[in-house]
Amino acid sequence: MSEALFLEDTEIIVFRVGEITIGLPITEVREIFKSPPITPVHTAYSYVNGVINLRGSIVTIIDLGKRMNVPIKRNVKAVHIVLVEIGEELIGLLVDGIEDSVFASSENFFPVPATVNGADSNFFHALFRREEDLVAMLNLEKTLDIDDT
Amino acid sequence: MDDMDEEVLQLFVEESREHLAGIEDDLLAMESMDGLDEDLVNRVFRTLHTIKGGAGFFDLVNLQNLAHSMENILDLIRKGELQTTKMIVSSLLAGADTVASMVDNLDSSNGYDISEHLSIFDGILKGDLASEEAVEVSSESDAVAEAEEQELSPGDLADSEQTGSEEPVSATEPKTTASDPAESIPPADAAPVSKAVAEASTPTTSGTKATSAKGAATSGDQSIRVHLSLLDRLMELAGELVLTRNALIQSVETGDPSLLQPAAKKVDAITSQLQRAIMSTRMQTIDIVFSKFRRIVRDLSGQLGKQINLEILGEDVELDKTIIEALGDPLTHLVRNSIDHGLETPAQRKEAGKPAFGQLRLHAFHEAGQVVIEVSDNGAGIDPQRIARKAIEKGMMSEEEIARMSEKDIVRLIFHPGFSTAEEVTDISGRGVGMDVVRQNLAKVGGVADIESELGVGTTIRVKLPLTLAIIPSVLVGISTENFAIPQVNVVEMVGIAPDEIKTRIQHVGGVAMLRLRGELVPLIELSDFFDMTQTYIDAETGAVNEERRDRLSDRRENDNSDEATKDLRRGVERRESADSSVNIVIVAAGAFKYGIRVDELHESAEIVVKPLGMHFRGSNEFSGATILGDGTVALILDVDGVRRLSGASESQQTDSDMRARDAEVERDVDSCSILIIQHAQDEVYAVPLQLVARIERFSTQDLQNVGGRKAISYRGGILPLISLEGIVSSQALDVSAKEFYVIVYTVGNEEIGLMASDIRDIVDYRDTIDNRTHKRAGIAGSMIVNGEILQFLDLYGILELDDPEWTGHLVSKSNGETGLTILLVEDSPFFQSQMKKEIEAAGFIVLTADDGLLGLEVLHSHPEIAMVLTDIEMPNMDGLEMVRAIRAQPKYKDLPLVAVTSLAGATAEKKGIEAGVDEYQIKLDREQLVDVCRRLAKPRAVSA
Repeated sequence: MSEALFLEDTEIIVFRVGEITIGLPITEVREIFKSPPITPVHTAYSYVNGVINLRGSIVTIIDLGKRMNVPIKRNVKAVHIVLVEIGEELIGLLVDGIEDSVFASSENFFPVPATVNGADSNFFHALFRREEDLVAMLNLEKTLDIDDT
Repeated sequence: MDDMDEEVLQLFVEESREHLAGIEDDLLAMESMDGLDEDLVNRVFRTLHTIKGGAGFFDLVNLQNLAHSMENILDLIRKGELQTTKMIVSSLLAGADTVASMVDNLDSSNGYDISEHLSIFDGILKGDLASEEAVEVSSESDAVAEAEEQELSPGDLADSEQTGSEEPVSATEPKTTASDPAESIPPADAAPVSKAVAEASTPTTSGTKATSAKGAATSGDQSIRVHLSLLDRLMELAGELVLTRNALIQSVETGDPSLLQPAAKKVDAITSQLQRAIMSTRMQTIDIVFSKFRRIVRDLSGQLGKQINLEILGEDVELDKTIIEALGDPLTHLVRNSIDHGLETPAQRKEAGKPAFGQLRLHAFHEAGQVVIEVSDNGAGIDPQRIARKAIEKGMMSEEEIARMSEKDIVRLIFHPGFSTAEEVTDISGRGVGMDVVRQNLAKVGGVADIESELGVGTTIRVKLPLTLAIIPSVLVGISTENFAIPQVNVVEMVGIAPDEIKTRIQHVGGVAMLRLRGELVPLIELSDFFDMTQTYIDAETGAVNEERRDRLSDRRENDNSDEATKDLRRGVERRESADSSVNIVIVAAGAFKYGIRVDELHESAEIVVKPLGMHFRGSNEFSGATILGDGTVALILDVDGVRRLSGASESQQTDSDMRARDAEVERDVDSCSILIIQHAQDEVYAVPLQLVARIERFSTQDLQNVGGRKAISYRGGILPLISLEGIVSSQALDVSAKEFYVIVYTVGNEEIGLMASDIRDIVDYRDTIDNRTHKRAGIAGSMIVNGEILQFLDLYGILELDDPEWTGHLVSKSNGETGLTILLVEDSPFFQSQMKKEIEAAGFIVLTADDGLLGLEVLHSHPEIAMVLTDIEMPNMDGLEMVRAIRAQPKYKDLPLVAVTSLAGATAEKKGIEAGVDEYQIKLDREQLVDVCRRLAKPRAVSA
C-alpha cells in the first residue's frame, strides 16, 4: 500500500496549519521565508490572501487554513510563507509555523482517512508517521487547483 | 542532413524570407508603373533567381520549378517583350505567395501542387490568348469564375485586360482566383462579409499576412533586428552605468554625502535613458502592418468591382513589437469593412456625385503620448437610423433610450457585444461586422477604438494605442489603505470637489451616485463596494489577520442593490466633508463609456512596469496586472472596463433624462485659463499660462549661441537669453531631433527671457481645477489633465530662479523688505490662491485669503488693517463683482483699492468690473504686474474710528 503512495524515501519539510501538521517533499519547496507585508487583493477565491513582491515578481499568497476550511489558531509570531512552484507559477503558502525537516522512508506512509483534523482528505496524498505524531503529506495539485474551490 | 547543411538551409530560408518580404510591394509597384522600371524588375528577378538557385542546391524541385517559371516571365518583362498587365501581376503575386509558403514549409514543399501556376505562366509565355484559356480551364471549379466565364470569351479577354480599370470585375476576378491553387472562393453574392472574414484566416488570399505571421511565429519571435547605432548607444549607456556605479560605491565607502547626490542623479538619468533605449529595440514601424493592405485592397476591390485609392500615411510610426503583431487582424477587419460596406461601387458613387475612385486612408500618428491609427473612407457612411432600428430589434436598447442618444452614440453601438453577429450574411450595406471583436482584440493590447461616420460622406475609425505594453504611464491612486494604478490611456481627467460643492455636484439618482461634470452626468463607482477594502495584510510584528473579509465581500455581492452603494458613498462623502478635504474623483473611459472612481488619494503619475498576475486572477477582469512601487509594495493595475462590468454600470444611466433635467440647473461657471502646451522631450509636456507669453519664435539649432556659459540667441538686434528645462525640472535633454526648436518669449522685469521647447503642442482653454498638490515642486506650480495626459504647469518665474539664482537675481524683483501691509486675496481655486499668495508674500506683504465673496467680506470686516483687496471674479456663493459692489456700498471702504484678477482678460468683463467698482484688472499669473499693482495701490489705512 505504502509503495503506491511514495515510492521513494524522501526528505520532507514539516509545518503547521491550525491543528494540522503538514509535510511537503523538500524538492517541492522553493523557499521558506517570514511573511513580508501582503498586499490584499480581490479575487473570487476567499483563500487568496494577497500578493507580495518577491524580488520583482508578483507572487500570489494562499492561506492554507482558509483553503482547507480549518479553524486557525494563529501563532502570530511565526507566520511563514512556503514558496512552491506549480506549472510556471510561483505560489506562496501561508502557514502558521515551520517545524522541522525530517527524513521519511517509504514504509512510514499510510493512506489518508476521510478527514484530517477537519480538513478534507483530498488535500493530501498520504499520512506519514513521524515518531509520535502523524504528518499529512500535502497534495499540491489538488490544493492549488482553481477549478475545485 | 548533417549540421553543416542544416545551417546552410536555415540561412537559405532566412535569406529567402527577407527577399520575399519585398517582392509583393515591388510587384504592385510594377503594376502601377506606366513604363518599365528596370531596377524594380531586376530586383524581383534576382529574388526569384536566388531562390531558384538555393532550391536547386537543396533538391527542392517544386520550389525550383516555380521560381524558374516566374523568373522566365520577369525575364520577358525585363527585355520589354511582355507588357505588365494586371493579370500577369496577379499571377506573379499568387506565385510569390506559394513560393513564400513553400519556403516556410520546406519539408513539404515538394508536395505542393504547382501545376496550375505553371500552366498559367506557360500560357503567359506562349502569348496572352492561350493563357486566358488556361485560366478559364483551371478555374472551372470556381463558382465565381464560372459566373464570370460567360462574359469572357477568349477574344475580348486581351481587350478587357487593357481596359482593366473599367471592368475590374471581369478582368481580374477569374485570374486572381484561378491562379491560386488552394483557394476556393464561395459565391461572392451569398456572403461577402463572412467570406471576407473567413479569408483573413486562410493562408492563400492574404498570402503576405500568412507568411508574415508565420515568419513572426518562427523566426520573428526569437530574434529582432536592431540598428547598429542603437546597440552602440546601449553599449555607451552600459559603460556610463558602470562608471556611475563605481562612483556610487566609492561615495558609499568613503561616506562622503556630497558625492552621493550627483551619483544618484546620474543613475536616475542613465536608467531612464537606458530604459528608453532598450524599449526602442522592441519598436517596429507600423509599415509592417500597413504594407500588406496594398495587396488586400487591390485584391478585394477587384473582387467586389470597386475602384479604390489607398493612401497610407505615417508608416514610419513606431510601436512595440507585441502591439504591431496584435494589430494585424483588427486592422484587416476594419479595412475589409471599409471596402466591403463603406465604399460604394463606381456606379453608386457616380450617382451620389462622387468621383468613381473611393478613397481609403490609413493614417498613423502620435498624439498625446499615444499612437493613433485612423482608418477612414469617403464611402457611404453609416446610417444611424439603421443602427438604431437594429438595436431596438435586438432588444439592446429601448426606443426611449435611443431617442435620447446622439447620432454619434448610436453609431458607436456597433462596438456593442452581440450587435452584428446575425446580420453578416443578409445585411450587406450595414457596417459593423464583428466590431465588438475588433474592439476586444484592440483592448488586449491596451487599444481603444472609436468611430465617426457621416451618412453619404464617409466613416473614420480611430484606434488609440499605447506605445508599448511592458511599461505604461499610469496614475497611482490610494483607496482606503490600498494603492491602485490606472493606466493613463483610460484616464480622462481628475476632478477634485470642494467640500461645499459636494452636495450640488454629487447626486444620487435611482440609487446611483452621479457626478455633475460640465453638463454631463457621470456615474460614480465606489471600489470598496466591490472589493473588501479593510486592512488585511499580515503584519510581521503583530500578525493581525482580518478574517472577516470574505463575509463582507459575499454580502456585498449577494445583495448587490445599489442603495447600499449610495449609502456608502454618502457616508464616505460626509466623512470627507467633516475632515474638510475635497473628494477626489478620477474620471476614466472604458470604451465610449465614462465613469468616475472615487479615490482617497491621488499619488503621482508614473511609468509602471507591468507584472503578470497568477492563475487565481484569471477569473477577475478587474485587474490587468500588478506593478511594484518605489517602496517595494505591490499595486494592482485596474482594468477600467472590468471594473465597469463588475459594477454593472451601463451607458443607459448616463442618458437618463431625469438626470439631464437636474443637470441643467446649477452648473457654476468655472474660471477658464488659456494654456499653451509645450513639449520638452518625448512624453514630457508642460503647460504655460498663455497670458504670460509675449511671443513664440522658432529657431534652428544652428542659431544657438553660448554667451558667458549661457545659451542665448541673436534676436531682433539683441541677445535673447534662453533657458531650458533640462536640469531644472526635467532630467531629459531638450529634444532637438527636428533640428529646430521653439522659444517661448516672456517678460521678467524689463527683460525678455526665452524658454526653449522642442515643440508646441496646443493651446487650450482649461476650465477645470488645477491640481496644486500632486506634482507641486520647485518650478512646477501644479498639474492638470488635458486629453488624458498629465501636464505639469510651469512656474515661469520659479524656473528662472532654479536655473541660476545669481544670474536671474537682478531680473526677479526681490522683496524690498517687509511692507507691513495686509492684502486680502479672495480666490476659490486653491491653485491660483496659493500661487498668488506666494508671490505677493514674496514681495513683502501680509496676505489673508478667502475662498469666496461671502468669506471675503467676513475677513474684510474682521481685519480693519486690510490695505487692499485682490479678488477673482468667478466664485461660488458670492462672486467677485457682487462682493465688490457690497464693499463699495459701505462708505468706509470707498477708497479701498479693489483689484480684480482674472485668468482670461476680456474687454466686456473689464467694463463690467469697472462698473462694479473695481480699480484695476490684472492677470492672475503675471507676477510682475501683480506685485506692481500691490506696490502702487496698497497704502496704509488709517484705521477708522
